[in-house]
Amino acid sequence: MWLRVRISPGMLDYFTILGVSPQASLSLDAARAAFQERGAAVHPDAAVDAAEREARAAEFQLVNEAYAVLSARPRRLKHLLELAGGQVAKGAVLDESLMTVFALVNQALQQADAFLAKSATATSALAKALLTTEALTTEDVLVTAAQVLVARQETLESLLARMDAEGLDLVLLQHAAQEAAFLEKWELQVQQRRLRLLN
Amino acid sequence: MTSDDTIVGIDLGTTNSLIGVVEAGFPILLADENGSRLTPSVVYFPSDGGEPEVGAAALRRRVTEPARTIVSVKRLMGKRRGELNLSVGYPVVAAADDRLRIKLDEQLLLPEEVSAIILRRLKAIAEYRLERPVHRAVITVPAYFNDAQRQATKRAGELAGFQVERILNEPTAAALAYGLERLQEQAKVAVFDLGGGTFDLSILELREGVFQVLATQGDTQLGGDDFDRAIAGWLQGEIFANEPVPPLAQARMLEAATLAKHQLSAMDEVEISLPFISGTKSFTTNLTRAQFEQLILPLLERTRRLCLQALADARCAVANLSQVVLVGGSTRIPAVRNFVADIFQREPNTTQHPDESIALGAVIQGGMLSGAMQQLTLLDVTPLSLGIETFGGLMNVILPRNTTIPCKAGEMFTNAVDQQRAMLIRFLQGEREMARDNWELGQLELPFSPAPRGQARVGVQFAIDADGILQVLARDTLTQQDQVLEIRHAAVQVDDEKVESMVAESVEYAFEDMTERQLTEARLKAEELLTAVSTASAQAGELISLEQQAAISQATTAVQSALNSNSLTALKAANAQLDQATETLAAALVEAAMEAAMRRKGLI
Repeated sequence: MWLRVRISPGMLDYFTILGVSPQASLSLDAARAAFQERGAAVHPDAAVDAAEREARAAEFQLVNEAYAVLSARPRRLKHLLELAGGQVAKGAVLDESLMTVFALVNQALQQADAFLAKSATATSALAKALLTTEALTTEDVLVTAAQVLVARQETLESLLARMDAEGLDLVLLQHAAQEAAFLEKWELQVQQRRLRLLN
Repeated sequence: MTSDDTIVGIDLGTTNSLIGVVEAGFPILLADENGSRLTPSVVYFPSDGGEPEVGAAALRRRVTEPARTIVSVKRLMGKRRGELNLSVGYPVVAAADDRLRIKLDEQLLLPEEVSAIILRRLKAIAEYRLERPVHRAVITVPAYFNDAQRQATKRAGELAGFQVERILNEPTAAALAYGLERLQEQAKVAVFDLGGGTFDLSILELREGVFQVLATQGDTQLGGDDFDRAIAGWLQGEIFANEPVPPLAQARMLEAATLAKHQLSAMDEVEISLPFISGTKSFTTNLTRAQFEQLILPLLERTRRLCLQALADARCAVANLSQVVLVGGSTRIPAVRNFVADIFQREPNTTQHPDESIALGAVIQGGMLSGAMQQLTLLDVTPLSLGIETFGGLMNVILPRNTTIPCKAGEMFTNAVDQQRAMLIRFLQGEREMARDNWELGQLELPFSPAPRGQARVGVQFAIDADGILQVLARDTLTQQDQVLEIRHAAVQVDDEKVESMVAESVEYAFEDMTERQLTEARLKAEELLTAVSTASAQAGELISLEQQAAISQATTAVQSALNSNSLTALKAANAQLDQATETLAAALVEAAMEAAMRRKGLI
């Protein structure tokens, strides 16, 4: 347990660069607001000559990187972990409850892929109409998976907020970083299938 | 202000182009000598080799001389062989370097050369109004334009004698015009931009003079042009059925289609009259707004997924948007407005002039860069992920889509064998997992200084500049030498003579290929329909009338006999007939399935 992030020497601290306090639960809105303020302050377009433009471009690049890292939960947690001298655990060790989520998501994805492969070959209105029932059940399965992922992310988010209030725990943070990465990946996979179902 | 400080803003559109400038702190658009701010993006090349005509005068030539009247050239910008999905009415060829060119007599013109003629005309309008020369410009492009399309646009500006200060994304430009009077508000807005040939959807956050693009999606081959073609295609079916269509009739049907489309934004029904369209045969018909909406619905449907993808990328729920701003001429169409209202669950914002908003935004950006306007900050993004091909033919993303520009990313490369002197890097843009499914931007050879395997070290920096254009810088860490690398486009550059000799064999839409492919496609479609009919027949009895059942079985027999006849026109006609005969059945099946699903969930 410790209360303040120690910054390893030689490492960029994106929280300082973006002008926000180091926190695991930094919201997307807060990251965007900070980026808009810092980005406007150092934007190369506001330069009066070539030398200033170059200096601003370098500064803007850092602010841009900081925003990209801190606005995405998995990358933010990984960065926080690195700043604290820890590392994201290598190898995927999923705890049992996350394993259950994975099983559900994976089944939904496989079902969706099988359906999408079938529907890709249907071009006429009649052939498509015959697939309606299956399209609806596939959508339902994906929606359920998405809901489970959202709920899980909300739980994670409240854990992160608690950590910010009570102090960082390296082991907890390590787990959270790993879980966040999995949840984001699965969320994107489910989302992608749902969008493909539209066509 | 001296002429060297002035930066004009230009909307180089598929259908129309505009130019403007900041005067006394206000963005204004400049009209030609006839008082028109819209210049049709059309160039007519007289057969006597005289000066090309531009604008309204050129547009009038389209019906009589379609092959010499270049319309919608924006659709060809930066395009390569196989990337054009429509016929533009004039000959387009892919030369040996794979880039599309317009064939005009013995000449082969690059699309940017034609665009440059339009830009020169706009420049002349500005100089006529301002009574001083202008040299610097901001030019807008669809947000979803890739690297080659942006480069071609920039090149067009340079050919026209401009120093191109910025390539600006169209929806971002519209957001600038929209947000200029709302600088105190904090809001998330979507800009739905449906023009003559392109579609973009951008989601922005506006806060205290900062415009941040959160996400952008688009289709650079979807616009009002396609609606015209949908109507013209329907007309062709009505007038010519499966007979060949004379080229002039094609141009006249398109012209009539455009007119009908415009009128149907205000009227419920229009008369389309085409005297002597086929020899001595005249043709008159009525087109209702409902019919028109049916024709364009499949095209509109394509925008839905893109809108939802952009919202997901921006991590923004529909409910969190303050406004959905419409721009682009095609957003005048009531069906488009209804479609947007359906997707975004609100009435769209129509405060912006559909034709002028983007140009005004370009003018504002020009004013910001020249210092003629207050400082606002634009944080725009790159629309497509940039990556390189890696082992196993996979795409390795280096800068993901929606990364704020300008941006940079570095990557370290090493030699795989002793004394290897160079390695080839292929650059890609797109979102697919496999490299081959993405668009190849180009490739370059990365030089190594001689060293044992794994010892050479070259750092490569990929930078996307404020115009959305890629630049590559390599640094050899052994020699500490920097090198700006030239990206070679996918195909080898060849000299003009060679280009000409290859033209004949590479005409797009080669005729024979086309028939063969169409016949295969029609056969597949027929087989699919026959299978679907036999599957659906069990339920047909409860869902549709006896007459409809009889019509389906008659059309089915026709498809079966057409399949044996090997005639493309007969098979296509039979397919279309069966498609039509099963329309009610398909709709009834969808409805029955939805109802069953709702019952299962206890919703009804």
